[in-house]
Amino acid sequence: MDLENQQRVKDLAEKHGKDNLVVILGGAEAEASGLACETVTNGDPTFAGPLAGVQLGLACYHILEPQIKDEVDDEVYDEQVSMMEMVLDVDDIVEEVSTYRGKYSEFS
Amino acid sequence: MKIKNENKIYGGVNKMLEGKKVAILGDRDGVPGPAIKECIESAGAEVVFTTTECFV
Repeated sequence: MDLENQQRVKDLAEKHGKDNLVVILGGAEAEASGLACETVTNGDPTFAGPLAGVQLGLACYHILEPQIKDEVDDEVYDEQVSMMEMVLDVDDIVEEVSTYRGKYSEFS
Repeated sequence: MKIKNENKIYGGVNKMLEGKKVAILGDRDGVPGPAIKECIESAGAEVVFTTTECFV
Protein backbone atom coordinates (compact mmCIF):
# COMPACT_ATOMS: atom_id res chain seq x y z
CA MET A 1 0.00 0.00 0.00
CA ASP A 2 1.61 3.22 -1.10
CA LEU A 3 2.62 5.88 1.39
CA GLU A 4 0.20 8.52 0.12
CA ASN A 5 -2.78 6.21 0.59
CA GLN A 6 -1.60 5.24 4.06
CA GLN A 7 -1.66 8.93 5.01
CA ARG A 8 -5.14 9.35 3.50
CA VAL A 9 -6.54 6.42 5.46
CA LYS A 10 -4.90 7.69 8.65
CA ASP A 11 -6.40 11.16 8.16
CA LEU A 12 -9.86 9.72 7.36
CA ALA A 13 -9.80 7.55 10.48
CA GLU A 14 -9.01 10.62 12.58
CA LYS A 15 -11.68 12.70 10.85
CA HIS A 16 -14.57 10.21 10.82
CA GLY A 17 -13.64 7.96 13.74
CA LYS A 18 -12.10 4.50 13.55
CA ASP A 19 -15.43 2.84 14.36
CA ASN A 20 -17.18 4.65 11.53
CA LEU A 21 -14.72 4.01 8.70
CA VAL A 22 -14.68 0.86 6.57
CA VAL A 23 -11.92 0.08 4.05
CA ILE A 24 -12.90 -1.87 0.94
CA LEU A 25 -10.17 -3.48 -1.16
CA GLY A 26 -10.21 -4.48 -4.81
CA GLY A 27 -6.80 -6.16 -5.04
CA ALA A 28 -6.15 -8.77 -7.72
CA GLU A 29 -3.95 -10.97 -5.54
CA ALA A 30 -4.46 -12.53 -2.15
CA GLU A 31 -1.05 -11.56 -0.80
CA ALA A 32 -1.31 -7.88 -1.76
CA SER A 33 -4.88 -7.71 -0.43
CA GLY A 34 -3.80 -9.30 2.85
CA LEU A 35 -0.94 -6.81 3.19
CA ALA A 36 -3.30 -3.89 2.61
CA CYS A 37 -5.68 -5.29 5.23
CA GLU A 38 -2.81 -5.75 7.68
CA THR A 39 -1.67 -2.17 7.05
CA VAL A 40 -5.04 -0.57 7.90
CA THR A 41 -5.60 -2.80 10.93
CA ASN A 42 -2.23 -3.52 12.54
CA GLY A 43 0.01 -0.92 10.87
CA ASP A 44 2.48 -0.93 7.98
CA PRO A 45 4.43 -4.22 8.20
CA THR A 46 7.30 -2.69 6.20
CA PHE A 47 7.60 0.19 8.70
CA ALA A 48 8.08 2.57 5.78
CA GLY A 49 4.88 4.61 5.76
CA PRO A 50 2.72 6.84 7.97
CA LEU A 51 0.90 3.77 9.37
CA ALA A 52 4.11 2.17 10.71
CA GLY A 53 3.34 1.26 14.32
CA VAL A 54 -0.19 2.70 14.02
CA GLN A 55 -2.84 0.11 14.86
CA LEU A 56 -6.03 1.59 13.47
CA GLY A 57 -7.96 -1.68 13.80
CA LEU A 58 -10.33 -0.62 11.00
CA ALA A 59 -13.01 -2.83 9.52
CA CYS A 60 -11.50 -3.98 6.23
CA TYR A 61 -13.07 -6.21 3.57
CA HIS A 62 -12.43 -7.17 -0.02
CA ILE A 63 -15.26 -6.36 -2.45
CA LEU A 64 -15.43 -10.09 -3.31
CA GLU A 65 -16.23 -11.14 0.28
CA PRO A 66 -19.79 -12.40 0.83
CA GLN A 67 -20.50 -9.93 3.66
CA ILE A 68 -20.04 -7.06 1.19
CA LYS A 69 -21.56 -8.77 -1.84
CA ASP A 70 -24.73 -9.45 0.15
CA GLU A 71 -25.25 -5.75 0.82
CA VAL A 72 -24.63 -4.53 -2.71
CA ASP A 73 -27.45 -4.24 -5.23
CA ASP A 74 -27.33 -7.43 -7.33
CA GLU A 75 -27.60 -5.63 -10.64
CA VAL A 76 -24.82 -3.18 -9.80
CA TYR A 77 -22.58 -6.01 -8.56
CA ASP A 78 -23.15 -8.00 -11.74
CA GLU A 79 -22.36 -4.99 -13.88
CA GLN A 80 -19.26 -3.80 -12.00
CA VAL A 81 -17.62 -6.83 -10.38
CA SER A 82 -18.90 -10.17 -11.69
CA MET A 83 -16.44 -10.37 -14.58
CA MET A 84 -13.43 -9.98 -12.28
CA GLU A 85 -15.05 -12.36 -9.82
CA MET A 86 -14.78 -15.07 -12.49
CA VAL A 87 -11.11 -14.33 -13.17
CA LEU A 88 -9.66 -13.76 -9.68
CA ASP A 89 -8.91 -16.42 -7.08
CA VAL A 90 -11.79 -15.51 -4.78
CA ASP A 91 -11.19 -18.23 -2.17
CA ASP A 92 -7.52 -17.26 -1.66
CA ILE A 93 -8.34 -13.55 -1.46
CA VAL A 94 -11.20 -14.07 1.00
CA GLU A 95 -9.11 -16.36 3.20
CA GLU A 96 -6.14 -13.97 3.32
CA VAL A 97 -8.15 -10.80 4.01
CA SER A 98 -10.42 -12.45 6.58
CA THR A 99 -7.39 -13.86 8.40
CA TYR A 100 -5.86 -10.43 8.94
CA ARG A 101 -9.25 -8.91 9.76
CA GLY A 102 -9.87 -11.61 12.32
CA LYS A 103 -6.48 -11.04 13.92
CA TYR A 104 -6.29 -7.26 14.01
CA SER A 105 -9.58 -5.53 13.22
CA GLU A 106 -11.36 -4.05 16.23
CA PHE A 107 -14.42 -2.74 14.44
CA SER A 108 -15.66 -5.50 12.13
CA MET B 1 -33.98 -16.99 17.66
CA LYS B 2 -31.39 -14.90 15.86
CA ILE B 3 -28.06 -16.49 15.09
CA LYS B 4 -25.20 -14.05 14.68
CA ASN B 5 -22.73 -15.09 12.03
CA GLU B 6 -19.96 -12.49 11.71
CA ASN B 7 -21.81 -9.39 10.51
CA LYS B 8 -24.96 -10.96 9.25
CA ILE B 9 -27.85 -11.57 11.57
CA TYR B 10 -30.06 -14.23 10.09
CA GLY B 11 -33.70 -13.64 10.74
CA GLY B 12 -33.13 -9.91 11.19
CA VAL B 13 -31.79 -6.99 9.22
CA ASN B 14 -28.21 -5.93 9.80
CA LYS B 15 -26.77 -3.54 7.27
CA MET B 16 -23.08 -3.36 8.00
CA LEU B 17 -22.31 -0.67 5.43
CA GLU B 18 -25.38 1.53 5.72
CA GLY B 19 -24.48 4.97 7.06
CA LYS B 20 -20.75 4.18 7.23
CA LYS B 21 -17.91 6.15 5.65
CA VAL B 22 -15.94 4.04 3.22
CA ALA B 23 -12.40 4.34 1.86
CA ILE B 24 -11.84 2.35 -1.32
CA LEU B 25 -8.48 0.96 -2.39
CA GLY B 26 -9.13 -0.47 -5.84
CA ASP B 27 -6.63 -2.22 -8.07
CA ARG B 28 -6.08 -1.69 -11.77
CA ASP B 29 -5.56 -5.44 -12.27
CA GLY B 30 -8.34 -6.41 -9.90
CA VAL B 31 -11.47 -4.41 -9.21
CA PRO B 32 -10.91 -0.68 -9.92
CA GLY B 33 -11.95 2.03 -7.46
CA PRO B 34 -14.88 3.47 -9.48
CA ALA B 35 -16.46 0.00 -9.89
CA ILE B 36 -16.27 -0.58 -6.12
CA LYS B 37 -17.67 2.91 -5.52
CA GLU B 38 -20.81 2.12 -7.53
CA CYS B 39 -21.33 -1.03 -5.47
CA ILE B 40 -20.74 0.59 -2.09
CA GLU B 41 -23.07 3.49 -2.81
CA SER B 42 -25.81 1.02 -3.75
CA ALA B 43 -25.40 -0.45 -0.24
CA GLY B 44 -26.17 2.91 1.38
CA ALA B 45 -22.66 3.87 2.50
CA GLU B 46 -20.89 7.16 1.89
CA VAL B 47 -17.66 6.88 -0.09
CA VAL B 48 -15.14 9.38 1.30
CA PHE B 49 -12.06 8.26 -0.66
CA THR B 50 -11.50 6.25 -3.83
CA THR B 51 -8.26 5.29 -5.47
CA THR B 52 -7.06 2.69 -7.94
CA GLU B 53 -3.61 1.36 -7.15
CA CYS B 54 -1.24 -0.09 -9.71
CA PHE B 55 1.25 -2.68 -8.54
CA VAL B 56 3.25 -2.91 -11.78
